[in-house]
Amino acid sequence: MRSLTELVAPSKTAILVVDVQNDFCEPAGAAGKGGKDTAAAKAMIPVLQRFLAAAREHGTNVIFIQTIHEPSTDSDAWVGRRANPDAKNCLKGTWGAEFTGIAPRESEPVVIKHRYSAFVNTRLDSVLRTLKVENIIVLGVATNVCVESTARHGFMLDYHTVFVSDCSAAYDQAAHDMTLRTHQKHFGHVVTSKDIIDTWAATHSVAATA
Amino acid sequence: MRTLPELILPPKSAVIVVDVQNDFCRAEGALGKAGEATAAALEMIPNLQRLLTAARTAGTAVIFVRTIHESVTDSAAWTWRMAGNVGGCCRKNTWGAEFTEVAPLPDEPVVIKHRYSAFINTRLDSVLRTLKIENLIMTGVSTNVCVESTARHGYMLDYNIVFMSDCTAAFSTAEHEMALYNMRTHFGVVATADEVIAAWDAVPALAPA
Repeated sequence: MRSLTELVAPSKTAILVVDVQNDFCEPAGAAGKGGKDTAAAKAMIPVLQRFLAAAREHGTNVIFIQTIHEPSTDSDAWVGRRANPDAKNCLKGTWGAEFTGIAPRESEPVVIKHRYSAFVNTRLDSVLRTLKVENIIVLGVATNVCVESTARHGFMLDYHTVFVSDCSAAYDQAAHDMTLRTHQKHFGHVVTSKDIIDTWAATHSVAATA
Repeated sequence: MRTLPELILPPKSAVIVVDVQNDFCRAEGALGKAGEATAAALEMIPNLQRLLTAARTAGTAVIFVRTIHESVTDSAAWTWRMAGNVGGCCRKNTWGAEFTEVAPLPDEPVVIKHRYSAFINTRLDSVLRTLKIENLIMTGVSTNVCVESTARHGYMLDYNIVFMSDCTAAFSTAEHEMALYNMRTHFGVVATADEVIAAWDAVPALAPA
């Protein structure tokens, strides 16, 4: 069983920042206006900002996942499930689709997706293979929808999968908690951002003194 | 929003039976011996049997998904987290990998899988496209692991999902209920065997004359 040190080793690991976008995180976004409680998403963002700063300091890959909806991907199954098929979010070119409180650097890939899992008909697997990534660190919103779907999918494509509990948020605490339980039991590791930052710091100091 | 009668129409719908195998359903199976509560799995099987009988009468496709583990698919990522606890689960050619009180008819496809989702590196999508299936009626075990992973994946590949609350089972009620909540809220429709059977009974025009 891999130790946390191996699971977050910067050269073999990528952080997948899932759907940290205004329509999912801001009270004025589509989810908020639709009655979802976005408080947990807003509260998680300063923790995520600190985590990404540490990741960049230690040279861990950061990949931004961005949901974009447009008519060419609005299939019958995708929109027909909803009571109100006209309820839209993350439309191409809108404020709602923009990132919330974080932004990719010039060298950091953005992967556009049109479904919950960031692996469904996207370039994510190609990007990860190119970077020779073996471990993925998943976080973002909503814990039980897009982050969980991506984490499940990544593990089943043979990536070691670490879920960051305090850099993820749902609209419902019970749903958030059950995702973490399911992930820990069947899919991978659940840790806090501090666990990973401490591991990077310890590894770095060991390497520096060697 | 589609209604249940539209989502179960025989020519465009398939019942997907996920992992109803001894290692997941029986107390003497791998999960039972590892301490998981398999009672709910055995309890739901009569509902599943009723659903399958009605599906076959209505002319709805039935597809069996079966987990088989062997060394050529035991990747590092797949096996690392099990730490040996369930390492003996659904091994090829063992009693544990056999179906539990359900069985495919000679013309019903069996899809072998090696991961939780029945769509990961399997022929399931090809079978469904060949049969022109648009709607998946999800059954089996475990509700929150293989059935939920398959339902999530199927919806994202543009299949409509009907998730059966009483033809699925998990190792705890809390896990079962949260899977139903996720399905109902973000992935599809949750229904009971009685509801789906009644909907099939209401389509006489499509039943064999």
